[in-house]
Amino acid sequence: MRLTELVRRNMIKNMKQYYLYFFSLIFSVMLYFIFSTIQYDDSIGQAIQSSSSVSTAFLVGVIFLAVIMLVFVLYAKALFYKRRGREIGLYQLIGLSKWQVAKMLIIENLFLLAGATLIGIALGLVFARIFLLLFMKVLQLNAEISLEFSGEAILQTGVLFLSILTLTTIQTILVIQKHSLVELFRSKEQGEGIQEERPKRQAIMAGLGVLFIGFGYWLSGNMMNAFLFFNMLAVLFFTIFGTFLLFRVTISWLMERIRKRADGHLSFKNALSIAPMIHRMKSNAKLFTLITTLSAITLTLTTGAYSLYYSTAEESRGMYPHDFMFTQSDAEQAESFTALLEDKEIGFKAAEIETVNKEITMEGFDQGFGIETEAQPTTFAPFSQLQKAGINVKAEAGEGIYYGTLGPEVNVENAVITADDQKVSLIDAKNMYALNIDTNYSVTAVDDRTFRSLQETAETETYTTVNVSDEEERELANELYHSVFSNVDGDDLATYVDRFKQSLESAGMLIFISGFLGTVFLAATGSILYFKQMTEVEEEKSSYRTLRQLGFTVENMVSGIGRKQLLFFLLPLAIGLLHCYFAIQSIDFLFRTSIVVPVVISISVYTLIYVFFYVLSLTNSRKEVRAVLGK
Amino acid sequence: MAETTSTNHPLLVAKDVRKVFGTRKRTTEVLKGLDLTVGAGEFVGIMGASGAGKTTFMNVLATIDRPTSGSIMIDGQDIITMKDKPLSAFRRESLGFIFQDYNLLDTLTAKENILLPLSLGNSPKKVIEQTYNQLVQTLDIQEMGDQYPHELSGGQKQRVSAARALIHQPKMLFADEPTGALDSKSAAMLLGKMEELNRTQGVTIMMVTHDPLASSYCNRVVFLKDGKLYTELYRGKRTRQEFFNDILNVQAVLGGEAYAAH
Repeated sequence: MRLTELVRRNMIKNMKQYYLYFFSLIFSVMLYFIFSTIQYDDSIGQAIQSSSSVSTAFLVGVIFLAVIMLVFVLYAKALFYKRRGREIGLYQLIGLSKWQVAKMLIIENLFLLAGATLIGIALGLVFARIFLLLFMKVLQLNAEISLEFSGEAILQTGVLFLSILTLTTIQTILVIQKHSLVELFRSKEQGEGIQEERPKRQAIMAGLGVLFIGFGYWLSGNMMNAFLFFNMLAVLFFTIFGTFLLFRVTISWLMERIRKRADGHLSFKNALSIAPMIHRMKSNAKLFTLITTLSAITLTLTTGAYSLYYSTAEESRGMYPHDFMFTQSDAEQAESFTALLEDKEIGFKAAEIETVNKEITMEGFDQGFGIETEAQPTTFAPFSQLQKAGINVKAEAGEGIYYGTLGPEVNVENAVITADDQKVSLIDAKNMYALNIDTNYSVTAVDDRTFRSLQETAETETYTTVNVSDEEERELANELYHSVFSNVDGDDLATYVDRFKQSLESAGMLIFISGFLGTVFLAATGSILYFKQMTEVEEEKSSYRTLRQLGFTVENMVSGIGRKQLLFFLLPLAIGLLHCYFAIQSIDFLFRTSIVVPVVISISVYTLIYVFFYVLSLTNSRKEVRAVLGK
Repeated sequence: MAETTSTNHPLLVAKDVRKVFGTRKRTTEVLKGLDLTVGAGEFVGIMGASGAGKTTFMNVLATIDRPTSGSIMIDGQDIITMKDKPLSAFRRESLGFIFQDYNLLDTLTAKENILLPLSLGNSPKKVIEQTYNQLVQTLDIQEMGDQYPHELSGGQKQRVSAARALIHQPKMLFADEPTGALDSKSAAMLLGKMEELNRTQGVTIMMVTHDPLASSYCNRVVFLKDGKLYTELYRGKRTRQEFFNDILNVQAVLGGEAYAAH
């Protein structure tokens, strides 16, 4: 038999086992190719206002995808080689040199990767259009777009193929070089040492794991103070390290308790679930930690992107409370604009807001731990006029409301602003603006009497605001605004509609990319867990044979294996979801709308992916066990 | 012949057992119509050259493999017509096995391995504990309960394996080359323990071996040749050394014939 024939037979035999790996590769390559195509396509850029960000966003997506794929392929291959240790050893035993075996595996790898890349690109060419339509829909764009065949995208996918090929080739050579023949034959048994017994230390470490995670969670809910950044790092450290301890020690410690209590009288299901899990926890802990931490981060980001997308309107309103705004020097423009609106029979409401700028002193702006914010000049505006312009303010004389970006960590309960000896005690700090963002950042709304007295010692600047209530008419008005004023001085102010569209585009892009990347990432981790389980089934084959001879049925065994695999998939899922819950809780202030829907969607997708792989793993294990027992 | 079996009722009765391997075109008949009766409390050895069909015969008798034709009754139950599920249950409850390569589960401690056959049932823990203590004492492995297989020597592993085979007090114990992987001292110890169990507790044992020394511990040795019963020897009142010599003689004839036929 020639080497090529051996390779061919091997591939066919292994194809059955690794088809999931092959499909994952194809899917990832397809996505990568489509992302690359969009990244290099000009026509999309023309349809979008923030065109430069499209290619940048997709470039970032492409990079992330490449990293996920590289890690996935390398890890999966490492598992496969471990599983095939005996086979590799056998080839050497029958006289193939190490180099020949390496060459065989490299050729096999090359075919697999090349096949996946070619099929992936072909599918990418087919599905790119559907993808683009979805993308346009998310961004609420109606432009006609024809995707063109992109040589650059193919080139970029080729680079990915070459990088994966190079890395896996190096990996293969290392695996073959590093292991001696004897080790190869033993490769299935090693690396899974049995835990050494140090009960006291174990118990302490087990408790520490829970304590660390608990502290991390607690801190995540109480980190809004002057040390926000430091707190965030601490939260990351405590949760990640705690998670590692939890998997490495706590869970095996708990299972060991159950086992110790049984004192040898282990139920059959536990003998096939708890015992092997304890046995392998050492080597699985790192994998679990990595997967749960990254999954939680991915879920949080995706949920954040969803929320950002759905709250675009409110977000934009927060920055542009008025549809159109004109400064005092643009008063003429304002008049001609309103005339134009009347002309076109567009209903609108115009109002004027007077403001004065003042140097102020601030007291009692507590950032936490009694640290106060520094005083900055602020703009004052009267309640009555703001109300007329459509901002909902209500306060008594002598009170004030702060509009701007103090940040969520600042407590204004006892805050007092002093300007010209006028004391204004704040009753609220809104995380939004009173005047469109490109005019003034912070505004303190005060009662009319206070405002009049402040007006005496400073120059008054009057703004004109124009609001259109009907959504369609507002869009029309926006077009009119730009058609008339775009060339005047070039310093006309941006409008609410501009801002809304721009936010929708970037948020849409974010949700589109993070949604797909998140799914790919979760699917990759899910299949890694699946591969790990199949490797374990392979390692436990001799046990199944023994159990069969002792008179246990396939169903007995499958129910035991099922419990083990349920635990195996459930543990990272549960801990990941818990992390995600606390992570979202801690950044809840960022979301203006309810995040229940995106959270439910993300969690369902996460759970579904895991359920899918659990069922797949259980079905295939049953098949494997049956095959081993010749039934 | 009647000297040992007359008082004991037959536990295992096999008649005209045949086993054919292979597909329609190329078949090999490994068992060519074997009859065997084992009385309760017997310690039977099965010997024969490689390829004589010893292991196949035992697998068939032990319900691990199915014969092509013939009838096998164990304790009055026809194991040929039994469906897979009741057969598994029968094997789990009524039979015990010792294998050449121990077949212990790496992830379980010695005690967990020993109690494994009872893990599906719900016998009271106290009773199990009592049986366990008695067994590990007899087999001299009291101290090894918490140890994992990889921490034990070959002889210790095989005694753990024997304890596992006996924990559920099976009607019959099957041992396939139990001393095959052991040094002579460990082998002698194991065989001594098996003989003791047979003598004091009346455990019925059937053991496949190619080692004349091992089979000299039996009450009776059955010789197979080319899938057929060649002859059988009863130990009777003889010493083990005398029985050993007889076995050697038969084996010489068997081997000689096999050699001459070649």
